[in-house]
Amino acid sequence: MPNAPDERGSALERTLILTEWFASRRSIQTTLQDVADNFPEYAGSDTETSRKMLGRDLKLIEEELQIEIQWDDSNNFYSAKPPVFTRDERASLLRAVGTVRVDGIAEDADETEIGHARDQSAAQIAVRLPLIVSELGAPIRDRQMVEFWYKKGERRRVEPHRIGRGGVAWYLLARDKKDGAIKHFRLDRILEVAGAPAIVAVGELGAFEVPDNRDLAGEFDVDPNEWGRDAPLEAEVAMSRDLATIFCNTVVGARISSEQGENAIVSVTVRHYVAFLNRVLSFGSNVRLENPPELVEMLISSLKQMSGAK
Amino acid sequence: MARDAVSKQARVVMTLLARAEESGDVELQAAAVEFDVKLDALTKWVEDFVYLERRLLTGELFSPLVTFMIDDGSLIRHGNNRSIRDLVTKAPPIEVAVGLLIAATQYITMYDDPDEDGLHYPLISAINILRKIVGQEYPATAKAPALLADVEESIGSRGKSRAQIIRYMKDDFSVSERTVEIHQTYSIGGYWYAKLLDCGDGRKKSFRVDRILEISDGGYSFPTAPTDEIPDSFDLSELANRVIIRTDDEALDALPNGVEIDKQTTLGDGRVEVELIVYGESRLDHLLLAIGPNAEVVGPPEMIKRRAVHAASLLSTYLT
Repeated sequence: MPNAPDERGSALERTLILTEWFASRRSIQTTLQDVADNFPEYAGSDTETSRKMLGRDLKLIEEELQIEIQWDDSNNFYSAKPPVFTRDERASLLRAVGTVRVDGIAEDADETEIGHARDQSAAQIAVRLPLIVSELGAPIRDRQMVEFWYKKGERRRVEPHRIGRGGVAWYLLARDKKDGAIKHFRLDRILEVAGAPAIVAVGELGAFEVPDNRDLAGEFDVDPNEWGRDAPLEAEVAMSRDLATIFCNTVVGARISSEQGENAIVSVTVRHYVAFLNRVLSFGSNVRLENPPELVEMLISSLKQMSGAK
Repeated sequence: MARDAVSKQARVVMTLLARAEESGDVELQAAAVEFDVKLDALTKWVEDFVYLERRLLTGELFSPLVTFMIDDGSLIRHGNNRSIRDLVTKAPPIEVAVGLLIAATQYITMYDDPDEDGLHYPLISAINILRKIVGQEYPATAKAPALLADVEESIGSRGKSRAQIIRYMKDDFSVSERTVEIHQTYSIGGYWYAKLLDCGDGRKKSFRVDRILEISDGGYSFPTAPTDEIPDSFDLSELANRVIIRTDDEALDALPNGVEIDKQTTLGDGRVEVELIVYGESRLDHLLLAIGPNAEVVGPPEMIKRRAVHAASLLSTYLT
């Protein structure tokens, strides 16, 4: 049974119905009188009392339901702000969260946040973020500089631009204030500080501009064969056809240049000699570097050193 | 009524609505115990929302569509009307937004038929909103290997799956052909895996999909296996090897994937001494050479010897 016109519900019911009522009038300018004309709780008392009571209820709605109904002081009316996501946008996010589980961030978020009451037992993908990602979120958003201890104990002050992956490692792309260069900082090389945050935000918000370049989207180019500065050399590596498939998926720019029976020659333009040779070595006796002679010589020299041969 | 009490009621109701919407039916009896509220009181709070309607002073019956109902002591989602949670105007906290953005970005890269259920374009729109909240974007973290679609195609959704013959390359680069019954695919840490039954030895295993070189029909069907919750990580502790090396600090940035830095000490000569953990014998051999000749293996003694032997073996292939 609906309530009688002058019947008052519980405070909770009033809060919920008031929220829905305002939402149903999103395009309508609503005055205090409109509220008093519809809800007995705000009628019958003086305007100031009603205004204060409505103000308290709207604050509760904002704090507990995360729904903001604003008062326009210059025009004397209330209006509900538009939702941050449409219903379909929210539904699509819930579907994504059901398939992709993101661990290591916001794990203690309230269940009322989108996706945090979601059953993820059927998730197909688990992404584990380094814990430090959560410390970098706000400075990146607010364009605030940060300081941290890096590698063997260097204090770095940087402009944090974005976080991303290169291969299976996570990096911070940032401008190093020491020399002004934009660099990739491996997150697992930022040192933890006992009892304190590893990342310390310093200075004002909006302290820098983030350059608009392709590094702001997609994966980071951290493969040495992409950023290396050695004079390019064309290398040829012999291996089985099976391994060639894996090798080409692993080394940026590698391609099968010829096949004979079960064997293949993989070609690749080398831009970082040491990194490339180390990579070749990691495949052990399953690959053989054939060309160019200068890289083969370097490889032999490396093996001699590591084997202890003269 | 004290405001604190209404706040608590609102919080409890919103939490239960979230659960009912995202995870399924909510038993009110269990919820009453969890939130330390009498069942009658909790039921009344929930009813205040589920049967939300009021005759206003104007005489109009205001009755918003509500997508929940109470049935047999449970709060359940009913129909597909909107939820009061659709009205939320406050952006999620940045940490929540980062998680949502990563999940959404990964999800949207996974499907060939993007708008089969009409939610593809809303997801793009949601990603754009999240990018603004977060102030950056995140790439998808688990790129689909070439044969993932073929592997997934073998898993039947109507109760029957097809066995497959695969050629698979192990960590030591040896290749073998196996008949397998694939149960599910999943991704952890950027790699895709196929959970399967290896018919050769009757054991359940997880194979990296990017190491499957070929896949073809195995000639028979089997009942589709139920899927399991994917693990947080693999327990590789039994395969752990420890190596202590001294090297230039920059060289640590180029360590092979999967190698962990455990202890690190700065040496006076500009180098660092680090204790590394690597899982598996073939990965150990990869590591010992991949660190390069400028890195010195200082322990344990068997690792020093192992590196020298392995390097000498490789060297011999270049000197013949």
